[in-house]
Amino acid sequence: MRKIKRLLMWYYMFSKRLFKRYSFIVILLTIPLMIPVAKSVMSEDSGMVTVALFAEDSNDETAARIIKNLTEEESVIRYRVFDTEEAAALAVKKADVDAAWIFPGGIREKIEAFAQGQSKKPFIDVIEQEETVSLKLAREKLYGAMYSYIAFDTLKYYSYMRFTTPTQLPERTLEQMYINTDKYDDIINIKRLDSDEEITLNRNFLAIPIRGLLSLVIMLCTMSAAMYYIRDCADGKFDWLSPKKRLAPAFGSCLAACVASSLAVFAALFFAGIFENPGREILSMTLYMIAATGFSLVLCELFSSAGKLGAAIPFFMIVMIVLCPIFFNLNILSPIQHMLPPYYYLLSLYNDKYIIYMIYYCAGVYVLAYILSLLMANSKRRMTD
Amino acid sequence: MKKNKYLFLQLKRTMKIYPSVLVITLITLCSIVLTAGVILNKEAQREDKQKMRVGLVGDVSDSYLGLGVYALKNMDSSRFTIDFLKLEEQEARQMLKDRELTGIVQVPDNFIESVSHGDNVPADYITLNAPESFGTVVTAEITQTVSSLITCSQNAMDCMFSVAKMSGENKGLRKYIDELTLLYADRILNREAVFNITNVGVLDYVSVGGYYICGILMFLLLLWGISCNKILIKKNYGMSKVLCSRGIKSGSQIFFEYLGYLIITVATFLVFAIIFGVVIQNDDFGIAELQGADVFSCIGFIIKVIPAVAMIAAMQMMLYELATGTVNAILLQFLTAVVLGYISGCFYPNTFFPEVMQKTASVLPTGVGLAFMRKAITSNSVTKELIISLVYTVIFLAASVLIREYKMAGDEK
Repeated sequence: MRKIKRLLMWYYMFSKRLFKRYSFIVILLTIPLMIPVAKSVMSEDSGMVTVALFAEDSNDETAARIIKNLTEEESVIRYRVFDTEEAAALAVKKADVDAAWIFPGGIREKIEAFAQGQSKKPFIDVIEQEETVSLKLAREKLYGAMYSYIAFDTLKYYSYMRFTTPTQLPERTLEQMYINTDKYDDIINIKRLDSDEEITLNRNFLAIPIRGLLSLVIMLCTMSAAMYYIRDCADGKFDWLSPKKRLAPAFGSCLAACVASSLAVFAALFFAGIFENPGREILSMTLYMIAATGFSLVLCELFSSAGKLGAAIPFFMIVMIVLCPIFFNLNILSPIQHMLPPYYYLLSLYNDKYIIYMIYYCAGVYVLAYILSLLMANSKRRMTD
Repeated sequence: MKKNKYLFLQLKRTMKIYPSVLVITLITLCSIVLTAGVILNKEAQREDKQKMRVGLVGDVSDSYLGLGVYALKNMDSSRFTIDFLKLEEQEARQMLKDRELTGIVQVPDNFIESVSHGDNVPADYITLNAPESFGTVVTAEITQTVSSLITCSQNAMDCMFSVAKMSGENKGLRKYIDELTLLYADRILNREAVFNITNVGVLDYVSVGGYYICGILMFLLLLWGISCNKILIKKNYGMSKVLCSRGIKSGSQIFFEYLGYLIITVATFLVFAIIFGVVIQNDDFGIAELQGADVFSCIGFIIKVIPAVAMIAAMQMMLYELATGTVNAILLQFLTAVVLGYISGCFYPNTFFPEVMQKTASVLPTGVGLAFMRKAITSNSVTKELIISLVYTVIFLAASVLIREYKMAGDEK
């Protein structure tokens, strides 16, 4: 009980030191305040591929409807409608857009000819800088947007060939019958591994790394606090404490920065609208805070100078950006991935197993910090002897 | 004379700390190169580097579905972008966990039968228990398209039933279903035939690989400010006031401190250039801009982009003047690096962003720096970026002087 009281006392003192500086409060407040701005900007039209659309005949109803369907659908493809073919082609040449799709005049007849097998001639002009996988996939979307016409025209062709005539069953009636049979739900459900619940994927790919980057802010604050502690030690501020007992101020220093930054990050996640189940969020964040503090305690013991730890911080940041599921979800250098607290935190929100792993990680990292502190204390004692 | 002495002392102080910073930075760089090497090697072992791999599990014994899978793998245009692998469920799940697959399509029992009876039992597209990535978002969008192709065809089939019944055809409908199914399969498999594709070539434009080299370099430059925290963090302004009283005003102090920092920054990036030059002599990673490049061209590139480096160094200097205390200063550097790096396109190409963000990025120091690097790598004229970089450098240094003056005055009170 006394030990816990001592740890909390250190925590309180170090928090006070951090919050004494107004700039710290301002920077922390900036984190959640930045998010709504970023969110509103990101909600604007964006896309991993930008396609210019141009209809040769601006009065063509079919082309207008296809363009409307494409531009109104939520997608990772961004569309821009152009007034002339030349402008669309120039936009491709200037790399303002990745491709241009030119819809010919009388597209309905051309679709019909294709659907009825009368013409094998291509009728959509595609202008690209170079062929890429993303552009091939984008064309799948275009074909998808035209497919209801193709499906109907194929049906019309087949019905008139096998069962009836346009006089017996006018095209307009057939079309109405086709529209009225629109009764099928999606044939593919999206689920996560180990879960039967159907999910909706976050299509705003620009927002995907927000949580990961925010989790790194916590790591960074905690590691910077570890530097603070190392500098304090070098200045002799803890000389009155036995080296074996210095883990307590190190813990207080790291936890103070960790809790303060976690609160800011928590608020930011809430404002960003990427807050999952609140109970799960709190549990994951609490464990992450404990893990991040433990990780920094190990660094406190491993680094003899604040300058060296400071120089190594970018190294840790880059390693975390690459190996934790922030931008990429790679399965490489697995032993190193398992040393990084954000790896557990980011996966724990989607997989219960990682909550358990994070508890093991916390236990392991504190035991390691304790052993290292004993070893360091012994080596220091031997040196002074 | 005093000023020269201060410059000399600054350089001496910087050089004293620099070796340990450089060693740790080099370890960082080597780790990054090794990690990149592991990733690229893993990718290089795959023949189909750009393809997404999707596992196919469940009951595909139905002859139609078997034909469909065969068509997807061998005849369909998607075979160039997505590789469908028929796998056992356990094997597919393990491959997904190992990130060897983007997702798994799990086909339920009697899938085709349910579809042909209009009683859709949906197939599952399974993604990893992890945050979404590009791959999952793209494949989810494609599965939605595939889903709409199938439901549109189903609607047409149902309609065909009604037409057949209206015309008195009540028997032998299976034959008509087969015929119409084959027609739809043909239309779907031949979908690329509707596109007349013209490639206009890559003009005055940096390749994706070249773009990312500039992005990584800019992000390293931004993080470099954190590495140098011991050189740039000011504990208090006591020494600055003493120097002021000896005739070295805050303007000179800032300029000489900046000069010291700039020299080690350029030196470090020249070391990076040498290491990178040696690496790319053996392998250009398929990046157009690196073909035929060597150590000297890498050094030449760093020399060319010195104005952009100087601008970012001045910005970092200003940030260190702005934030006091280790945690604050490092936090501010990191937030600036991440936010500016993200908006300017260090992580994603800036064309992915909304137009308003692209316009904002183009006037930010990081955006200007990235444009400078991109134009330098493609040997385009950098006059505009050079002028903006110089203006920014002057603004940042002037702001640093003002902040120091203000803080020194605050200390006196």
